Amino acid sequence: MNHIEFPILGAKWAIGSIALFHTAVASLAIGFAFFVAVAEIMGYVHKNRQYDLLAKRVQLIHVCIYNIGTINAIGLVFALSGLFPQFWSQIFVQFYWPLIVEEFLFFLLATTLTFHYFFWDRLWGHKKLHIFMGVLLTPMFFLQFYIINGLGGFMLTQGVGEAELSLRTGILGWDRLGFYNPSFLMLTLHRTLANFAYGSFGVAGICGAMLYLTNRPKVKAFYEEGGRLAFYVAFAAFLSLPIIGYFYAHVLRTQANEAFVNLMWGRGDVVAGGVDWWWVKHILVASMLGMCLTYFMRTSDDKRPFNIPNIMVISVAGFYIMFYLAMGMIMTWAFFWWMLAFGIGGACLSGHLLSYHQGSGRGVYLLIGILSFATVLLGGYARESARPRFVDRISHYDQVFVPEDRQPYLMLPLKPTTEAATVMKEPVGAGELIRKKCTGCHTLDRIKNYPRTNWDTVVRQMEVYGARLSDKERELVTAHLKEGKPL
Amino acid sequence: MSDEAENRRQETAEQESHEDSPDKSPHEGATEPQTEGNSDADSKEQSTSPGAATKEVPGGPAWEAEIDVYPLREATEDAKWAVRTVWIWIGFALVAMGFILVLLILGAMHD
Repeated sequence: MNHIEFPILGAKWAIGSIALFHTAVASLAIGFAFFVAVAEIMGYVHKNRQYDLLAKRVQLIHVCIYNIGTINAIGLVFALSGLFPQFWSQIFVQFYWPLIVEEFLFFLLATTLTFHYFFWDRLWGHKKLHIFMGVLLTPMFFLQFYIINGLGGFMLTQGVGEAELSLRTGILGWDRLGFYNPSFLMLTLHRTLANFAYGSFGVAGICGAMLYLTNRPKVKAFYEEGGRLAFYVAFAAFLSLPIIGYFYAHVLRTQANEAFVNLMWGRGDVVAGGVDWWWVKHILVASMLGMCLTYFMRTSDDKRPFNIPNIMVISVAGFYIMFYLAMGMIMTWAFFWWMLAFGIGGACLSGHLLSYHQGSGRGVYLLIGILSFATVLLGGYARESARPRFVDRISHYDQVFVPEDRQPYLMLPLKPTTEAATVMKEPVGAGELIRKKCTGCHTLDRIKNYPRTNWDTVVRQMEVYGARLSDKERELVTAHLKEGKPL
Repeated sequence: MSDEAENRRQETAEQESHEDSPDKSPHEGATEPQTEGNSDADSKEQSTSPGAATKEVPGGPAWEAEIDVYPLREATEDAKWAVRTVWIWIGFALVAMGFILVLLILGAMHD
């Protein structure tokens, strides 16, 4: 099969790079929208211009990055269409109408966002109206998230069999059971709250950087107060994540076991360059938790307009410990100890930075902004790389659709012609199957030279790494290998 | 550089920073009654200076002086075209979001 090749990076990393950049930028959008709404309301309630000015300046950055993120998303669609045509055509067959609604939401969001910034100083006589327009952005973003996470969840948990039934009986371009797939709710909640935290920690990070760059007392006080507000908003959202994380992991365990195994035991592309990047992500999260707790303990007694109840912090921080304990029991206790060590390390570092800067949060703000950025990138990478690999640029959705009905490449008719069906016809002989399925990742010599005879285990392992085999094919291949027949 | 020259340089820099700043609040300190008509409101927006308070903080960012003031004003002082535009847009956005919600609810029930 001839594919379009992407120079230097290759297809996989070209898509990976564009998607990761999109994650970093677009994830800020919903977080910024939420923070701006909170800050503008706080400013109005307390007649505090600092919060209002901070909200306005963040909204300006938001307008800029929203444009960058949207253009990047269009590039991602172009790149996917050319480099992974089977994947993209399949997504279109199932989710054409949600994507059209998504596009309309882009228009609504971009315009509302621009109007909100543009009319900031023109509506001081109608401040509540202006605040309402800003608040409207969060449910609007949530709607957009709701739709895109239907597709995102489907990429991991297709609800095998259900989606096929849904597509066959329903409207072309709308796959209800595929959209409301098993991980849809958890992914939506996780991303929404994580992005509230990411966006607000990002604002704290900017405030921290600005505190290093200015010497003017009034401006310093502005960024100090703004950073604190952003930090607290982020921390409130951050606290909810282990609860969602636990249930998300549970859904993956039952509905996307291959991805679950890859994440938990560090297999597949989750490990790159000898590093388990999912572990690194959790190490950063544990460090952030430690930093947050110390900062909270040092500052929660301040009489400020925005605070979080102590009981909420203590009880929900306990969930993090329970989450790490549960992961220790499910996976390995090394995970628990690593997280504990980095949590304590983060707490100590935060305490040191606060003391070193004589109570100023500049060091904590900047560091937590950088860490949250890295966490979002690593989270996006770990999730995508946990999925079984694409083989020959064909995704593993052949579990959802029988191959004869799947569009082989590009936007061919839904019911393929005899010729197209012939192209996709499965090989029948075990030897041919082995040549076809195994050589996508390694040579036949590797099979010939394998010293042991535990072929049942090996074939299962290969399936975890992305080999797609039906039950019958697995039996054929395993029997062939056990008997030591020629390949 | 002499003191006089230094002062002149600071004043010029200040003036430039006020003119360039996208954050300046053109309505701050505006006390004259609002006249009817969009063009009047517009011209007032364009002509009003950010206020004398900025002179208290030479060398600082233009928005530094705005920190102390929360410049709420009478509703009638807002330009009518701005208020109308925002109301129309919010109305359109709410209807559009309602429509999308209906689509999602119908989509959840039917294939």
